[in-house]
Amino acid sequence: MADWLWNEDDAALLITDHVRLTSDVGLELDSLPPDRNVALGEVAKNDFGQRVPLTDGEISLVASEWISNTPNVFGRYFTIDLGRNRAITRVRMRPGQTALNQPEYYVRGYRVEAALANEVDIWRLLAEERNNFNLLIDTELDSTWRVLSEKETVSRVGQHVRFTITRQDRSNWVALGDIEVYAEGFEHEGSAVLKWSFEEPVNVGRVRWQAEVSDETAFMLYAKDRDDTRDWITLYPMDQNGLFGGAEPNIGIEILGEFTTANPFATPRWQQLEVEYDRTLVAASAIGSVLPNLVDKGKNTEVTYSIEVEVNDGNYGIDRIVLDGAAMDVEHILIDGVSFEEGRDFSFSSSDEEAQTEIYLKPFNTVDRDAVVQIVGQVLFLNESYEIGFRVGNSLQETSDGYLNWQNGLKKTAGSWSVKADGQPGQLLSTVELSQRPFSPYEKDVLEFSFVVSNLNNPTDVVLSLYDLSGNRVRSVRQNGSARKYTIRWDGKSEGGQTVDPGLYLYEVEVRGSGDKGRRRGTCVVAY
Amino acid sequence: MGIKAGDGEHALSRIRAWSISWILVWCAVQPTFAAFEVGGGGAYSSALAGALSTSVESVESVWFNPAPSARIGTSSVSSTHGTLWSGLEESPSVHSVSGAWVSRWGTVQVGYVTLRAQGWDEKGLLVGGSRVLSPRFALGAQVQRNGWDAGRLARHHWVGNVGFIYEAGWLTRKTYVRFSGVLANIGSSLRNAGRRTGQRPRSITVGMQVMGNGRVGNVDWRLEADRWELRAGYESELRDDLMVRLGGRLYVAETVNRTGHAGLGYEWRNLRFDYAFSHSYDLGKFGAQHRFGVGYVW
Repeated sequence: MADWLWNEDDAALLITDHVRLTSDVGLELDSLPPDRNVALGEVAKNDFGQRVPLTDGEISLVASEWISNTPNVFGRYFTIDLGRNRAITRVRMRPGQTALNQPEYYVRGYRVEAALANEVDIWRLLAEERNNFNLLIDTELDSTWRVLSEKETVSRVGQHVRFTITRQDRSNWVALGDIEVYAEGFEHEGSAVLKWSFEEPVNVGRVRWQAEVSDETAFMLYAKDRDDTRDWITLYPMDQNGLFGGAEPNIGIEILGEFTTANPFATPRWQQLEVEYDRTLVAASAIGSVLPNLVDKGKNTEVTYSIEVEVNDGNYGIDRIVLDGAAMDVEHILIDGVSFEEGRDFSFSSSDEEAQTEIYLKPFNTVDRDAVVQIVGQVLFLNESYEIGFRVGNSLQETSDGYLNWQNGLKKTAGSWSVKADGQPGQLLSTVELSQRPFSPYEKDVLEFSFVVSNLNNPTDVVLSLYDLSGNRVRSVRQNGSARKYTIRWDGKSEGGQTVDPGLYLYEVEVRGSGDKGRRRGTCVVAY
Repeated sequence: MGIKAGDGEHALSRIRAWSISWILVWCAVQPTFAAFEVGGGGAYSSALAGALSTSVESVESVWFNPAPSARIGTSSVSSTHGTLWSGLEESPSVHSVSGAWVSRWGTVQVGYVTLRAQGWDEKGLLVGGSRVLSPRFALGAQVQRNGWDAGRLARHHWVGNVGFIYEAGWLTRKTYVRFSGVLANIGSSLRNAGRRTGQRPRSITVGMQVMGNGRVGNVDWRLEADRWELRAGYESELRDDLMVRLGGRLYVAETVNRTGHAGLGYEWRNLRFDYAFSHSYDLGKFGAQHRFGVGYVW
């Protein structure tokens, strides 16, 4: 196992967008350039809520100006939504072409205000000029500008900017060409991609990083192998420690960091990245496919998952296999046609909740040569389509490194991991099976409520609610998922964490949003 | 009864005295907790939402207060069969029998109830007596054995109940009022060796009944540990032999359960036939409850 530290190695290729690298803090959002008009392209509306062409940045085109169609412009105002809170430094109102040709079309007096994103009804005054004689209004040149840094009196942070015409005379027509807003602080979002190549194919292990994420900021990390056709895989943002999920072995990886902030003066900082990789592979290659690819929905189907393994000298060999995407009741395993039996040669565990099957080969059955491994078992398909991938691992590697560095498998062909399920199973919610009656919380840890949810395409909440006979709701347990087998466990405790009294309880299993078809009700017994 | 119409002012002063007494008793009750209940009420009491602690009209009152049977007047027996939560695939059922034998020394009362569901059998047996101690005051006491059986596991326990009814008298020429109080589940033990026993905690109930012109209204308020319950029932004669009953119940614990009740009663010679329907506003998804009862008075 070796480590690669991105900030100690110049060989990595760093591509940034609105992100800067500094030696002392690492990567952070770049500062807004002082000459960027942050109102450009944003929406401006007049006091009737109608969109007006005042933030397109073009003043040479007559089409982009706003001309009053009434001699009464007193009190008219325009509001620009900047899309997010900005630390405003300057506001400019450029005259329209008509005003350049007819100088009396300038604004006689004005007021500029700002409001936060969630406080649009509280406007803070930024500048107010009651006797204006300039065609170009620029708060940088305006002595009433109240947020100059040395005499700042109000907060200049705001998402909304309002420009109000406060004075008129007898030649009242006004032509406005553009409202420009300038700000300081950090960019609101940015990204950085690190690309790294290894000298030889490796099995990438843990990806660890250090980031400083303050309030109102967010940082997400993604990884993938150096194949542009693959999607980014999310590394868990809070753990600061995730396993690489791309194809392996590979000769390079890419790590993408996404920075966002809702506070113009705060930025997330990505300070460190460490990628562990193993030059000793589990297998030189492992290529998998599943058969059949077309099954009946709602029926237990015999499935064969074949893995073509190439194991060279110096590889660890395979004694652990995980199928991701299906909970299989494994019946037997064939290695080069020789049948292996559960218990004697291997064991397995499967989880409907995680749609996962993990197989443990006994040490004397480690696959340490080229072979075809076939995993045969029953799978209940309830969704429209499945993608069943796999990983291989070795217990010796786990012992030496302290964690299992799974080597992710490869597809044999583009669709070789896909299973399509046709037809409609009978009912949305099956009958509910209880693991015990009566349930004794002091003898068994949990009471299991098992059932199957079918015909559910989008993930939704599946909720178990328990009531005593007085009608008092004792507990509610929730799982989120789509069509699959469910096992919801109740530990015999109330919402307050106390073991409930012995007695008869009512339960309801509900697939949220599905009406009466998605409900089953019954009784369970607690006794001790 | 020995109480004259026109005693209204005296009745009101007695109401105040009894109210203060009961508030003091209530303050002495320690809050406890229980998870389920054994319900012995029949079709008559269910139609009135269980507001029966002050009712002397039915022998079913023995499940709510030991005292009213002292004024029941005639010996009677009543039996009820009920289906709880009809929306369940296997609904629990409840059967109960209540009896009162009136003698010159007082009234002897008995009751037996079973609640059966898949894998669960709950039983309650009570025996007690009641006696009129003065023209206004009657007292009753019971011992009750409650138990459950869940196959290889079973428990039972004894508790005591005491109660009274008090004849406040005629508030107006047409309105008669009586009050009641019950202290139930005396001696219950909520824990044994650190585990909950399933027994109900001590509870206290105060009730009032107002009668007049062939109509009866009952209100009960019960406090059981940190839960309380308000029950109200109304009965009116449609004909001499046909009664209509309505009731409402508000049960407040960690969550609230509101139920509505309705029922009919028919008398034919010495026989009484009752039906009750109840439906929970908050737990209606589990279905309604139906109870049928038949009674004999002699």
